[in-house]
Amino acid sequence: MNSNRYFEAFEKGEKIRSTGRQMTDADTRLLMGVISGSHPLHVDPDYCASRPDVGRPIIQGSLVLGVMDAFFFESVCPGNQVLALVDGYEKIRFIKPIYVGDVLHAEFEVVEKDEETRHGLPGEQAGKRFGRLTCGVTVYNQEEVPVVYALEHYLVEKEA
Amino acid sequence: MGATRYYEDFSIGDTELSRSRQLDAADIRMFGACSSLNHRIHTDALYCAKLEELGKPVVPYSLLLNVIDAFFAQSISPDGVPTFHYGYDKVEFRKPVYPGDSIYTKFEITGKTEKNENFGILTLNATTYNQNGEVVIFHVDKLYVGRKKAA
Repeated sequence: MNSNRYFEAFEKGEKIRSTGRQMTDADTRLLMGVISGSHPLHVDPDYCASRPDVGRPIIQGSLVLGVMDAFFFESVCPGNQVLALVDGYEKIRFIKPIYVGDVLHAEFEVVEKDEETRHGLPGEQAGKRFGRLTCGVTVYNQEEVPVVYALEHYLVEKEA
Repeated sequence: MGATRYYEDFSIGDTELSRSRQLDAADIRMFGACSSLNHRIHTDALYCAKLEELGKPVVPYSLLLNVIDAFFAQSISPDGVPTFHYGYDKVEFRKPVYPGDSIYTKFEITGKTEKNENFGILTLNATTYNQNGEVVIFHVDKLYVGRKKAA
């Protein structure tokens, strides 16, 4: 596998599957430190048991946005040669609860390639240096049930 | 702020200004630990110094979206009013955020939809600023918020 892919190397319609990652209670607790807080949904088993729609503690949905970024850099744009940046989302949907212990992976489908970019990056060459990939990203749990879907933009460095 | 609020307690046009929070390199490391996001653009100062687009390591936007979540969640649900994150429509990243920067968010309720007897969906415009008053993120957030039980 080519570990350094520039913008030109991606093809519309291409699908890339990531490696897996288990979500743990430690992840929930670390995120609480990052964001200065939490909700009983994530840390209180008694509260979760009292809600039939939940049952047991769930992972913070937005934490998965970081996991998706990690999957992207690891599986879609690996290597340290090509610069890639996350450039926003058209849409994100949290489809199903993600429970402590679930193992996630993602499938990225390239749905659009734009030569022109519009972004807020400083630097004179920045606009010419990148192309924009739009990917439909579906995150699955260990039972292959979709739990998160996002339509996401990435700036990927051009070779030329 | 501080009081428990249900779906019925919000009106279209309501605005709310969050507290602020400073982001630090330690936050990037903790977020890296819980998400596995440890890319060079967030951790490698020597590498970032060579990139004119960045200059220094940036705080991941995905980390900031989590901080913004907490800004609003804590203001509606200190006693555990049922909420779920429905999702986001359109998230625009406008300016990089660096360790040492502080952010705060202005929320405006733009839509209300009754989903079922337990939940309604709030739609919010969220504009996040840095310490210089510059917009760093604009996004549209959608949240399930619990409804008051019929007496």
